[in-house]
This record gives sequence, C-alpha cells and structure tokens, in this order.
Amino acid sequence: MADVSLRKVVKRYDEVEAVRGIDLDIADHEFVVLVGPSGCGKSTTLRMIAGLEDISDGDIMIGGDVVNDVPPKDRDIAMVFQNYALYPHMTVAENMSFGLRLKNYPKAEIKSRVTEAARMLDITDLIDRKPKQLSGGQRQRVAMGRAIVRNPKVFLFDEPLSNLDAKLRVQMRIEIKKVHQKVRTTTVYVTHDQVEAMTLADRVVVMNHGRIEQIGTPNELYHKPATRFVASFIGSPAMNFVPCRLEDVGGKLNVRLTDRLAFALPPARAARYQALSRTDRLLLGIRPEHVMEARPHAEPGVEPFDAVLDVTEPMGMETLVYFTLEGSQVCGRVSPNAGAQDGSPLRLAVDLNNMHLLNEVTGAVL
Amino acid sequence: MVDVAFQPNRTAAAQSGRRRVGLRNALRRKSMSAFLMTLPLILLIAILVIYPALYSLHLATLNKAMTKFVGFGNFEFLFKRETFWLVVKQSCIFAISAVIFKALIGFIVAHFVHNVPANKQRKWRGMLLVPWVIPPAMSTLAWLWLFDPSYSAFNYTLSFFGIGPIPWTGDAMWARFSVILVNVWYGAPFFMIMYLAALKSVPEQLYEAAAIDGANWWQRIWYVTLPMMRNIIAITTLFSLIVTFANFDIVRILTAGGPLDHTHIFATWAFRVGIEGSDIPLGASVSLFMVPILAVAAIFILRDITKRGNES
Repeated sequence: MADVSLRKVVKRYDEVEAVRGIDLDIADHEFVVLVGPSGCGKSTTLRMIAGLEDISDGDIMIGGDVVNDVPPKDRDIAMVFQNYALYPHMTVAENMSFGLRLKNYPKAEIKSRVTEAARMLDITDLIDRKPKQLSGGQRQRVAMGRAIVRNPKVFLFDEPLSNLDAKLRVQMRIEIKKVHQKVRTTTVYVTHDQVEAMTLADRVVVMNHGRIEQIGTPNELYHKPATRFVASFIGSPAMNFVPCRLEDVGGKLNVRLTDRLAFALPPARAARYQALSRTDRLLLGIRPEHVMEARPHAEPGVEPFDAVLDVTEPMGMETLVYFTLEGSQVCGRVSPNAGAQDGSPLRLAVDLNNMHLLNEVTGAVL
Repeated sequence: MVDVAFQPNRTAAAQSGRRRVGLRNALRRKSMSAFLMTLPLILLIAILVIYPALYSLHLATLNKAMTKFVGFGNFEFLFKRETFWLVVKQSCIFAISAVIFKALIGFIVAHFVHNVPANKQRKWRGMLLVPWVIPPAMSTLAWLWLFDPSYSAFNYTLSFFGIGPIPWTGDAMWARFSVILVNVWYGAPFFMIMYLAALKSVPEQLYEAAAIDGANWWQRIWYVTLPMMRNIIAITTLFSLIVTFANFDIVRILTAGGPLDHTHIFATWAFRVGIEGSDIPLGASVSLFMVPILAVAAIFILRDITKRGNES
C-alpha cells in the first residue's frame, strides 16, 4: 500500500491537451474518486497512473518513487476496467491467478489467495466457470477479485459500474465499499456518475476540461462548491441558478431577482456579501431542496414568494416542481401534499440560509 | 414476406381450381419456399460436386480401357507401387510444411502490419496481398525463371558470396524446397489478412489488463493473442491444408513432378497417370486418396472449433 502523488501532470495528444497540469495527493488507504463529464481527462489521468498512457509532462509518484518511465507491470497496481477485460478463454480462478502465475508464486499461495478473494466477493461457486457463463455483476466481481489477489499498492477503477443496470450498480457500489473497508488499499476510482462519487469517496476530485475544479469530501463539495461547474455537477436535480444583483434597501442588503421579486438576506449572508459590488452581474445558486412550499411560521431567512408551476414531477416521497424565473428554469422540492399541479400557482419559499452567490462571468462562488 | 413474394403465382394458378389451392398451400409453407430458394444452389452442387464425385468413384472401379469392372483392382495396384507411397509422403511433407510456414509468416507479418499506424496500413495491406492476387500460374512462371540453374537471378546473386550454383529444380531436396517456397510465397498473404482481421478483433483492454498483470511481450501473445485467435487459426489452417494438399498449378509448372517424381503430389500425379498416362481410372483412384486424408483433418480441426464455441 502506498500514497500516490501527481505533480503538474500533463497529457498532450498532438495539439490537444487532455490533461492540463494536475496536482493531486492521495494518502495511503484513501479512496479517491475522479469525477467529471466525458472528455474531462479523468480516465486519461487514471491511465497515466496505471502506466497505460505516457506522461507528456510532470511527475507521478507511487509510494514516494517517481514512476514516470516504469512500465505498468512494475508499478504494483491493479486495475478494474469498465468492460471487465476478463480473459475469455480462462476460468474465473485462472483469470484471478493470472498475475500471480506470471510472477511464479508458489501454487499453494496462489490457491489460498484466490480462495480468500473469492470468499470475500462471494464467487466461490463460480470459480471454475468461464466469463461467458457469468452475469455482468459476477464478471465485475471477478475483475475485482483479480485485482485483490495481487495485493497491489494501488487499486485503479475505470468506470467499473457503467455497464451494469441501475439496481446492480447500487448493489456493487456497496460491495466495493465493503471490499475497501476490508483491504484498505489506496484506491483511485473514475466515474462520471456523481452519485457513485459521493457515496464511495473519502475525497472527490471534480475535473473539467483537463483541470481539477475542486477537491474535497463529498459534503464539502455539496455544501461549499468552489465553482459554478462543481455546484451544478454535484447534486441531483442540479442546483438552480438565477441571475440577480445586490441592492441596499433601508440599510439592509437585498438580492433582487426580478423587478417584482427581491429577498432580504439573512444577517450572516448579508455580512458575507456586504463588500461585493452592487452592479456586478451575479447568480443566485440555490439547491432544489431549499425551494419548498411556504409554511405559516417560517424560520428566519426563509422567504416566501409566488410561482406559477410549469411542470410537476411526483416522485412519491416528494414532488419536484419546475417554474421559470427571469428566463431561468428553477426546480423545487415540495411535499406531495402541497397541492402542486401543472400550470397552477403555488406559494413557495426559498431558504436563503443555504444560498450561494456566484460571479456570472467567472463562475466563482463568492 | 414469403407469401407476398410468391403472389404472382396466384394468377398463373388460377386456371385450374384444384391445382391452384394445392400449389398455393404448398408455397405458403415456409419449408417449401425455403427449399425453392435454395434449389439453384442445390442443383449447382449436385451437378458440379456430387455427380463428379460419384462418377470418379465409378471410374476408379474400371480397368484402364474403361470397359471392365475391376472392383478395388486399381487400389491394389497402387498400393504395390513405390511411386504411390512416394507421392503420399511428398504430399504430406508439401502440405504440412507449407501450411506451417504460411501460418507462421502470416502471423508475424500480420503483427507488423497491425502495429503500422492506421493511415499507412492500407498501403501495406495492399502491397502484401499482391502474391495472392496474381494468378499462381503466372507468378510461378516468374519463379521458374528465378530458379533457372544457369542464368537465374538467384544463382547470379549467390555467386557473389561464393555459393552455388544451386540446382533449384534439378535436385530432389532442392526441388521440394522450391515448390514449398513458392507455395508459401503465394499463400502467406491469405493468412496475413485473416490474422490481421482476427488481431483487430482482440479487445485492446485485454492487452492492457495483461500488461498490468505483469505479462511481457511474449506472454501477451501466448496468453492473450493466441487463445483469442484459436478459432481463426484453426479454420485458416484447415482451409489452407485442403487447398495446399490439392495444389496442382505450382508443382505442375515449376517441376512437373520431377526430378524423377520427387516433387509429385496427389493432384499432379493423378494428372500424370490419368491424363498423360491415359489411365483415367487409375488417375481417379489416386485423386480419391485425398478424400479420407482431408476428411480426417477436417473432423479433427472442426471438432475443436465447436468445442471452443461451447466453452466461451
């Protein structure tokens, strides 16, 4: 087991820069998830750590050693691929033991390691089958088993759950978490699914256009996003953004959304935003769960307003409501008993204690 | 779909009430339409394959003048002749060594072409296919000139190194080498193109997984490439074994079976005794010997393919 460090790592394909100078420190035993939209460079970064792609610039260190020019087989890593990459002509046991056999481990040791990993992953009964005879979930377990038996310094996962159906994905997610709790190997996990990232990671690395947007724990990313990209990428349904500006009314700071709609900021927020220019074009960022139905005795900072709903989406335990503010679609989450109906007005409230203000031009969260 | 396709028959059949109903019902049945659609091919096979095969069986049982039934007489006669056993031996040496080298060279060249950048690959593929595209009778004539003992390019070049002159087609061993060489030259591109297609179908991630598992270059070929290509290797080998075994033109043009019958294979010897020796029944008997030998090879290799199919 080991820590992994990336120093100003760059990947260039001819003219295109896929990864543009990444700095990242992953501690021993840590589970780090790289997440971002397709083409953000997350898979390339993982493949550079694996040694499957050359590094154009910068350094990658595993366990303190620079591995830039070390071939994959000497990096002591194990990788789980999206399409499993199991050897179709080998049985499950042969697939899992392949790496050990190549390194001429004693037979008894190979057998005990395979048995142990199979037991941990609950695939003991499948050990003599060929990959074709397994379901997608079982194949993914075997692929994980192949990684576990090697007992490597680092596990690398490249979108391992993308080929599974939604239900199986949730199940395997828990499985991966359990495995990590047992073996505690440093893990780098790539996914485009923010739910996977949030649920699995000790720390999440949000990437966009080959750069790291933000690194933080799942809660930090959710509650304190650094940029508009992170704010919109993490969370489902996504955060709402409404153009706004600040104004002073009678010594109090207001946020004005439309000519007719303005909210007084709660004292804590007002103090934080006091220094901002009153003319800057800003965005009010508010998560759907902070736009709910108005209640008679509102807490301080929860401001009521009227909206005409465009669309409602009953989800069972809640109803998602969509309406338009200044040309922006806004999503709110209301109780199923709130009486939300398509095309009808509803009195809603916004919890400004959990609002964000963003610079519309730079996208930075202020 | 099938019913619609046969609708025009309705008007034709309308003339006779009873026949119409019968014909229409017959055409309605899918098996009937399927049979009719495959009928042209069945007829073609019957005329060009089954009839000649049965006729050669019949021929093999006649005497030289084709006037008398002699049963297995021709075969008994063949078994007693040394030349026949020489031909059996030479056919096996020719076919097996040629196929092995064709497969080996095809495999190696396919790897090189596979590693050529995609934009230049077409050019290489095209150039490497040339030997296979030229009619073998023509290219073998060119080889015949190259092999000429006194004026050929080969012996001329070798003379600079103090080697030769080599009797390419004059000495038994060299003549065998030469016909095999030309056959390998002609057949290797076919293997190359088949293996190249197979190589392209091996998922790149298997190699990446193997690289991470610690496999070196040779181990990747041995544990990933070869098992993944097993079926295509088996099919091409069988196919080429049959074609090579039944080869005629290269041997006929290059050595005509000489020197002293030492390069004869089944087809050329069957031609020699049957057509040139005017003993058609004996020639038919010789050529019939290829059937059991090839059948055994086909059964072995195809059995392996179905087994593999079930496994994976």
